[in-house]
Amino acid sequence: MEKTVLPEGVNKTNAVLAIAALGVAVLMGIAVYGFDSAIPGVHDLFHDFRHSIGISCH
Amino acid sequence: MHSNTINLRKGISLGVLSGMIWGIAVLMFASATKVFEFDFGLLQDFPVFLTGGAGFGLVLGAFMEVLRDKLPFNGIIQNAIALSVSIWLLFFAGGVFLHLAAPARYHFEGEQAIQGFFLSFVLGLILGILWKQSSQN
Repeated sequence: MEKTVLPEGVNKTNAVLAIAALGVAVLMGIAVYGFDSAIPGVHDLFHDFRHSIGISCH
Repeated sequence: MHSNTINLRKGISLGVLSGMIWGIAVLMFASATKVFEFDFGLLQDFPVFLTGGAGFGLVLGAFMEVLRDKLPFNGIIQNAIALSVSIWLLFFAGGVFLHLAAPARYHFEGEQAIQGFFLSFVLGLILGILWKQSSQN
């Protein structure tokens, strides 16, 4: 039977949560910079939030 | 007792909670300072700031948990603030890069940048306080 070996201190739940956190980090990048080509409408949706936290915008 | 085991569930939960509180604080603070004119009303912006704050908080909380033994300060609040400001600086640097690459589309606004820097400090403070309380319980 195949056994998955993870580094010390890392279990399956942590691995899944780490991947989810990375996904959210990418989504935050898209939202913060307003990349409409990645998610249509995200630029306008997060416009006020982007200005409020001091990220360059049009 | 200090545990060496990474508990991302704790980091992410505290991060999302502090991020949601922060998102509301950002909305209130930015509407009070008026360093720019909102495109939408407070009611329309509320879920957006809540979501944006939760996203930032989630990323910050995950990094806090993973890097907690490698952060420079002894106090959890100082470490949370340092990490929060560092993550904001990374995003800010990306914005400055976009401004340099496409100045017609991305404008640099000094007052907004100062506000953002201050608010990133606040996010770290909120997470640090929640983290400390959680560790004491």
